[in-house]
Amino acid sequence: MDETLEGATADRPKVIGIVGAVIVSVLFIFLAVLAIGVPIMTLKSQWESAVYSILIFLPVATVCVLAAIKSGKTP
Amino acid sequence: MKFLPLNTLSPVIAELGFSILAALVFYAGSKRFGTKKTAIFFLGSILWTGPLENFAVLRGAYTYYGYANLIYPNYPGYLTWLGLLPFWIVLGWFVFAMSGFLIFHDVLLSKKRALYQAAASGLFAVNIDLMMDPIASSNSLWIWLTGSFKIFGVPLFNFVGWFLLIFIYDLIAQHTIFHSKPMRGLSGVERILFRSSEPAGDRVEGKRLVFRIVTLETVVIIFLTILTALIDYVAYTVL
Repeated sequence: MDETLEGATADRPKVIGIVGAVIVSVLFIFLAVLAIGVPIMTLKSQWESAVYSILIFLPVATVCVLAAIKSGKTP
Repeated sequence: MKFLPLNTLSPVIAELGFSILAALVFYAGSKRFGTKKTAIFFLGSILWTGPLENFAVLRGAYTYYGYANLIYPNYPGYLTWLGLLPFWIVLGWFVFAMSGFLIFHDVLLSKKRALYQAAASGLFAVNIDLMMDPIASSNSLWIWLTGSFKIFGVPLFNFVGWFLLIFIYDLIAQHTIFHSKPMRGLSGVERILFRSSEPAGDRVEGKRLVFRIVTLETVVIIFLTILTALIDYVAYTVL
């Protein structure tokens, strides 16, 4: 870890909070906007839009969950 | 191209939602890096994305006036603007840039090179946009006007733009705000302008930050303009 980020050790719980906020943020955008207007342009049905959105959301969610787990494990 | 019926709740949720998100992320950033550096990161992100987005709107690539006059006459659709850009868009860039910086520099890839961390942050942002952009443009939060080659109603160059904006700003922040390091390619000019190729000490040099942002922003604009023409040539002529 580089010098500027050395203070991270004491701030790990805060980082978990940050990552949690990101997860909630992305979920918020996803759910709020999806709830207002489906189907997505060029897709035929609401179902296709939902499947597309969930599939695309998976990598984002994975990154956030991994970050939360790792920041929790690191002393 | 079909558009969904306009829903007056959409711009309100977007504007209010991103204001709350930006406040949360700012708080998180200030806890981690200090209020001053987070504020500089925030102001830098405005300078980084504001002119570029305004340039794209001026060129007619897209518009944010989908909800103009809907709530009441002469209301532009959103409460706060930065030129032709609703301010919540700028807040959105800050949210994704700072979140990516925290996740990849601080947690997931803390031992990797800055270049890999920035690239991961850029890809993370593209992934978010792949989810968000088709939905948002379907709801007319912004409307794509360009005839450029599209995927799910969104121009391909937009995704390249998302990657570059987050990737390069991540590097600028790493080399100028959170560290004081020379940036490859700019060192020669900086040696002439600032009498040294790297900032002195741990202090954030405002002039150097502005210089790096404006220079690289210009490079991105030129690159995206050429790339868009190239994408359209291949998509509409060769394929």
